[in-house]
Amino acid sequence: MTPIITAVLVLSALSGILTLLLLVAEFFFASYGECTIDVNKGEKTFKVEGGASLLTTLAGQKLFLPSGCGGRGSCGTCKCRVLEGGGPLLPTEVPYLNDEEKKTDVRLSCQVKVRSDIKIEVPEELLSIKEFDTVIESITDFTHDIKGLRFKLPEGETIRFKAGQFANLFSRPYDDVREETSRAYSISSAPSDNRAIELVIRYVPNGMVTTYVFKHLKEGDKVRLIGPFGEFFLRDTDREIVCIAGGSGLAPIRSIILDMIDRGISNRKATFFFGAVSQRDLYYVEEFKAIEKKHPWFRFVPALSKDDSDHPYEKGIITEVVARNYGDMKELEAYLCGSPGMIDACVKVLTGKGMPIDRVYYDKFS
Amino acid sequence: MDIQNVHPFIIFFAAITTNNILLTNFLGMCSFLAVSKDLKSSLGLGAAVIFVSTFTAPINWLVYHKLLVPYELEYLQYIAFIVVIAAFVQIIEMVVERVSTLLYLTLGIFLPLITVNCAILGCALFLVIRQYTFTQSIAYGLGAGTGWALAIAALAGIRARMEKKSKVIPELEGAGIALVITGIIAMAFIGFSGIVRIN
Amino acid sequence: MRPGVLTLKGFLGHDDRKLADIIETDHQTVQRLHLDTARIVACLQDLAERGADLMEQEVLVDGRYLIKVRDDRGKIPSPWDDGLFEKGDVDLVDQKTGKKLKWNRLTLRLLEAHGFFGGYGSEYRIDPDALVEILDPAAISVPPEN
Repeated sequence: MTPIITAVLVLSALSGILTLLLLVAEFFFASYGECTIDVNKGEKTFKVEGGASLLTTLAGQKLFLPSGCGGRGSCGTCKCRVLEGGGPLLPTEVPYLNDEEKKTDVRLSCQVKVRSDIKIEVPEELLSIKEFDTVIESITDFTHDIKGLRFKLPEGETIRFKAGQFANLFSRPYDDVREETSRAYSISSAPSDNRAIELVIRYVPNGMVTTYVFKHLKEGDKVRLIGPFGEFFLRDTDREIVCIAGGSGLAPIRSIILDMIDRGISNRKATFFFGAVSQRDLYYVEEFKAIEKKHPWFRFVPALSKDDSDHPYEKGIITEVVARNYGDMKELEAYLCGSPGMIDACVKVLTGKGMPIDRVYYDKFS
Repeated sequence: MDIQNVHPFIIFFAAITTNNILLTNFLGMCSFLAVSKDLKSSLGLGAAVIFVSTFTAPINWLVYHKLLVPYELEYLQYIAFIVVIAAFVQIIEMVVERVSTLLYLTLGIFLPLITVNCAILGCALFLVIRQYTFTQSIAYGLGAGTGWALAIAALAGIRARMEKKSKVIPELEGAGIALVITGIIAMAFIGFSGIVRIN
Repeated sequence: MRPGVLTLKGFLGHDDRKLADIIETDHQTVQRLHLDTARIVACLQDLAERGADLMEQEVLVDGRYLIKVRDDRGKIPSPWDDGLFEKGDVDLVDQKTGKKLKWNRLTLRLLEAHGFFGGYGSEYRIDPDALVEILDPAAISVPPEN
């Protein structure tokens, strides 16, 4: 009996001493104490526990730098300028930086370790990205497979975004789905309506998040949203605008039009072509008709591809309807939002009519 | 011959040539085969192995002779040595990361790899079997590590040369031809035998 | 593979068999029927292309297949970790036999690269026995040795 006890005791003692040594070493070498991160010359400061990468530390403070590989140093997306306190440039960063970036202190935030106070510079838009714990104010059935949801932001919080951008909606675990998932949806409310977020969501059969939204959400439920994201927004020019959308793609267009009204932009002609199959797929019709009446620069053109009933709308497939409404489109700008197939088809029509490809804007949701 | 009287330097020299832990005892093969594809990483890994073996050998000697033997727990050597090696590697990794990020990137990323390198454990077990003294165990640790590093440097160099010049049959590409080369190097090292004689 | 991880219903239906068994059984069926996986995939892709409609409407192809191709945004990852695939289910109803088939880019990829036809009971199962009834056997069989 005693040899077994001695053996156990000796091994435990050995392991114990080694663990103690490890803890001491960790205390002295691996903890870096409290560090201050200064963002954009003091616009935001964070007091954090040092030791982790800049990317992870910032995410912990709800400042989300874009990252393609999750911090493994294999994509080069997480760049930001580190003005002070970033340490020497590491060999793992070099392959992703060009000379211009090296000169301006651009670093890979997933490789820079926060060991001391650090000063960084990030694109202004990233500071607008926030996480919101919203409450559903209302759910409206727009069509047989499209719902509109209005999310109220917590007391005192506002969202700052450009009309056309999108937000990520997080579904909670339900039924067989054990983890939360997220999907991107364009914001349909106007930027001036900044205490709430409105989304238009189309049901995808067997879709993980749309099933959650359609079958498990009701008014009063709490939903997590993060945003805004995206490069789809109205460009600041004087050009005439063509908006083309289908299905839930109406959302960002609505936001853009409402925003133009709020900002008093009345010198740009805007025509919104909405492609649908039949009348039952139309929604927000009254609202857009009212805008048409009040603002002569706006025209709302629903296009029904397969509806033989008596209706006042254009007949035909959206691409054909757009085509027959324009001659030369060299001087116009286009904003598209819809299914991948529709966008491809529209791009063809627009460029075919002389519109330069770099003036055709569409949401890639990347 | 009475091992206690052998000069540590001879043990060091023997560990590189006639008792090379990799070429004579064939320990530490997996990371050897995997990392020898790249010369630079091989040198980094070799340096890390030397560092770890030089320090863990005497530490394990102390653990064996001062802790296990007095309590007649020699059979626990396998567990005890592994635990010591793992803890040592962890602590060194933390220190290196703190002191120099550059050194950490060259050397540090290999450290966890070494914990499972059987050559390190083999080193500790051999000094017990061969009943080395404390000083001899330091010499042996240093020698074994250097011998391993030498072997991987040699193989990496040869593989780098072969990249451009040789055409290996598809069936032997990769690990196959590496093992053949290792065997040839091992045979070459047999030529050292007779220079020194240790057990 | 399980429901709720990458997709809502998963790829296994109510099948309790091991993945390897599912793949092996279907492989044997394919061999018995002299089918060629690559040609199956090519045939289905072709049907999807010809059944595609800008407004996601049903299209009658070859006088017997009612095909509806959805055009959804976004991509799903493959459970084998070999890429991201566009969403957009294809629903096919064969008017001649009444049999139905459902697939998307991902399930075709699983079929082509991994020989995975889907578990029994899965909505997305592409059953080899059903295939010979629905599709033209000549188009999906192993070409005869010349």
